[in-house]
Formats: sequence, structure tokens, C-alpha cells
Amino acid sequence: MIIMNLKLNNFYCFSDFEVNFSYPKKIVNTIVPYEFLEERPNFRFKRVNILMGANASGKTVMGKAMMDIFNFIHLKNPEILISKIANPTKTASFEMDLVLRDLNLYRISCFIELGEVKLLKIEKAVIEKNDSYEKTIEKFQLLSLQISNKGVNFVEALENINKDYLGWLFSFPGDELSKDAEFDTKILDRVLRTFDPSIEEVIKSEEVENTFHIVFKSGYKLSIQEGKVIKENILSSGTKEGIAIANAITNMLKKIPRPFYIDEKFSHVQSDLEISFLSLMIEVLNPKSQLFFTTHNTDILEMDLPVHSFIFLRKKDKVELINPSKIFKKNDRSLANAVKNDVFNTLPNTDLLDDILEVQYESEEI
Amino acid sequence: MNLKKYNLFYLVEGECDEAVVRALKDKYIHSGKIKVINVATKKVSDLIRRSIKTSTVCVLIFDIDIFAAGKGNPRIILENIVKLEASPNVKKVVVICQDKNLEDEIVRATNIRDIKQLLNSASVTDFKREVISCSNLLKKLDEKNFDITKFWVQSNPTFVNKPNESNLIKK
Repeated sequence: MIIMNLKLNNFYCFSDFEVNFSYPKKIVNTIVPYEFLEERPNFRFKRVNILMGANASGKTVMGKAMMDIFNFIHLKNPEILISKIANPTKTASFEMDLVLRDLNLYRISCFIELGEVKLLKIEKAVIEKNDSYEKTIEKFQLLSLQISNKGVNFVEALENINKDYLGWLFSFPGDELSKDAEFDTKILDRVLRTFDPSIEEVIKSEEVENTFHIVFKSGYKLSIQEGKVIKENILSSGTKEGIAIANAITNMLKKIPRPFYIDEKFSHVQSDLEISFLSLMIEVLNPKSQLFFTTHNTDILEMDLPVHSFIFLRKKDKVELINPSKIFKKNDRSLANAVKNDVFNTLPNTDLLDDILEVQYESEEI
Repeated sequence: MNLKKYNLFYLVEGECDEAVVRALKDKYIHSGKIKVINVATKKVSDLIRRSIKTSTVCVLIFDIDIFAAGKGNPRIILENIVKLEASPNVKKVVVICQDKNLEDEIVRATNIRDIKQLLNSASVTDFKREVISCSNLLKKLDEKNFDITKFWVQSNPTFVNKPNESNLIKK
């Protein structure tokens, strides 16, 4: 499952927002392999998407919007979307282009008005051997169009999307892992030992299902049961994040084609470690999977990655998207400098912090 | 080449080499990140290449005796050098072949005649185990009159196609 384009209007903080995940030219000797469909080499897509931007710039909600759309398609429940409309008195809409496992491109468009789905359209285009994304979208054919009337059942339209082809993993900050979160013992062991050298090993419980023991060099033992740590205050914040990271890597290694949205899971992690984990994730990702990785770590801009892998978000009244690859025509290595010098106007405004001092001076004068 | 402007990335053959580089970087060589990988037997993966920061000088350190033992592969070393030099973040690749191995290099640069004397080890195997866990290795080296000008000074074998430029990383 590959997301090629997403339009959002009046959902969360998005208004007339569009993000595209194709890229125009084949890159020779790229360090991110398979940024195209193996069977359709001209159909190029961004497998690695690093989303950066100041706080509250839309990085997390972009993932949440994607997740809501997937859940809507899967569960056929419009409430999932309706509850995320920013202004309920105005029309909200989304349009998502998706490549599914049958190697067809699907476009799902939906309009919601006054708490009701007014239009749901599903289009499909066959991706031929030499087609690019841009060529394929010219060939969309209508599969289903449902316009609201009393009693209209939108389930029928969504039946055109094969449920078996759907799959995703979203990991947001503060999210608890689900009870059935899967772990590979070896991966959990390596990840947690990388975070905390005082860990001797991680072993799977032979008695209790979905339970792992963290054994420290001191002999102390700690358990992870159904994705949750018992006595978690023993672990550092970074090591706790490591558990969710190990779960994501376990899922990536399953090689099931699906998007992974890893949202600021490294906020307590040392910069070099974050870089190494990102590089590992790129390495183990299925060729037909996409990685969306949000971060504040500007050291990541120095990684040897194509410029098109980076997307910047900024928010004033609405979320705006900046594609540095459109500004930097070549694979320019000064991207880190450009961000540090605020070329994309993505640095946060800190003027209000100066006001705090003024408030202090005023109170001293009084 | 003023190394203060660059990031250094040491790719060393084994854990003993890592321990020695870690000790030396406090005093004798420029500091940098260390990764244990035998570049004579293993290809540097994209996983490693992607995480190399901009303006990095890669320093490849390996023993020459592994070729005599039939374990090292000159083709892999050359491929690794080419691959690293092609990386836009790599400014330079420095290759240091230890003649014949780390132990010989240490003996050459100190006043000991046998590597076992450095840490009073019972055997070479014990030395290897002890050097990894030694907490004051730099002090131990200095006690044996370690001379950095005598360390890593042998010429590289011709198949590497690169001179030994260890002087660049020495302080």
C-alpha cells in the first residue's frame, strides 16, 4: 500500500492542503533503494519521507488524518472523519491516491457536509508497464460514485477497495502499545541493549504469553507484558521509547507492504542513535512500503539521503508544505544550512519569550 | 588538511583496535566516532553509509596479516574505499594497514618486546580480552614509552592503491 497523493480540506488544521509522494526523475546510485514499483520502473514514489517543522506545524495531524482515512475505508464508519472536521458549518473533503497490492492506482474522494457524507467517489487506473504516476492519473476510471440521498449506504462504494490489501502502522508520541503488539525477541534485545548498556539481555518468557524479561547486568529483572513495562520508572525515557521502536522494526521486518508513520518516537533519544535507527528502518523496509518519519533533529538533514526525502511543514493560519527538492534543483548538500538559516521559513518564532523578560522588568518596576 | 573542520569516522577491525583507538584519541589522534567492522572481509553497508555525517573523513584500520591467513579480501577493501569515496558526505578516506597486526604496531611504538608485557597478560589471548576491558589503557601505553611517531607508520601494501596517511589523523 503506497500513498501517492493526499488532499485535505477542513480536517484538523488542514485547509486546501496537498502533499504528493511521487518524484520526477530517476536518481542514479541512490542510497534509498526501490523508490519505484519493481514491476513498473517508471512509477516512482518516495519510500522515505522525513517530515520536519516547528511544534504544532501539522506533522502529527498529517499522520492522524492518514490513519483516519484508512480506518474510514476499512471500518466504513464516517464518524471517524466527521469528528475531525475543523469547521462543521463548512464542507470538508479529502482525496487520496493509493497504490494497492493489485498494482492498480485508486483514488478515493469524499465530501462531508453538515455531519453527513455527501459524495464518495472511487476511481481506479491500471498502472501499465511504462507508466509513471503522472501518466497513470490521466487514466482514472470511475468505479463507484455515491451521492447522498436518504438511506444511501456508503459501504457499497468502499467494497471496491479490497480489505486484504490494507495495512498500516502508526506510532504517535504517548500512544500505548496495543495488547497484541508483536516483538521479535532478538530485535527487542538488540534495540534495548543499544539504548541501555546496563541491560544484559532480553528474554522471552516461557510461561506467560506475550511477555519478555529485561535482565540487567546487576541481575535485576523487569518485565514487558503485552507491550507495557511493569515498574517502568526503572527505564530511561529513551529506553521506554525503544520498546515502541522495537515493535515498529519487528513489523517492518515482516515485509508486508504498508505505510509506517513513526511520529517523534525519538524525542528522548540521542541524535546519533536516531540517525542509526532511521538508517536501519530504511534498510529493512519492504520495497513497497513507505516510511513517514517526523523529527526535530536537524542532524538528520546531514544524512546521505536524497533531498526529495525531506518535507517541511509550517503553520500560520493553515498548514503549508515546503518541498525542498523544488527549491534545490540538484541533490544539494547544504540542506542543513538552508534550514538553519530559515530559507524555508520553518524556524519557530521565539519573540514571545522575550516578552517574559519584559513582564519580569515591569513587575520589578512596580 | 585541517581535521578540526571535519568529522572523523574510524572503521576498525575488531574490539581490541576499538579499545586502542578510543584510548589514543584522548591524547595522540583526533577524536571521532568508532565503528567495529572489518573492511577487509565485510562490505560497508548502505545502513552505515547513510548515517555518515557531512564533511566526514573515514579512517579504515585493519591488520595486514589477515591476508596471509587467507581471510582478508583485497577486492572488498577496494570496493569499500570506492563506495565510501562516492558518498557525498565523505571528504576523504584514510587507509591504515597495521603491520602485521595491532599487537605488532604496539610493540613497535613502545619499549616492550612482547605484547603480553603491556598489561602483564599470561597469553596473547588473555591480552586481547584484557585490553578490551582495560580502563586505563592510555596510561599503560605511556608507561611503556608509547611513541605515536612510531605507530601506524609502515607503508600500505600496493593493492590498496593508497598511501598510509596516518599522519593526517595524528595530533
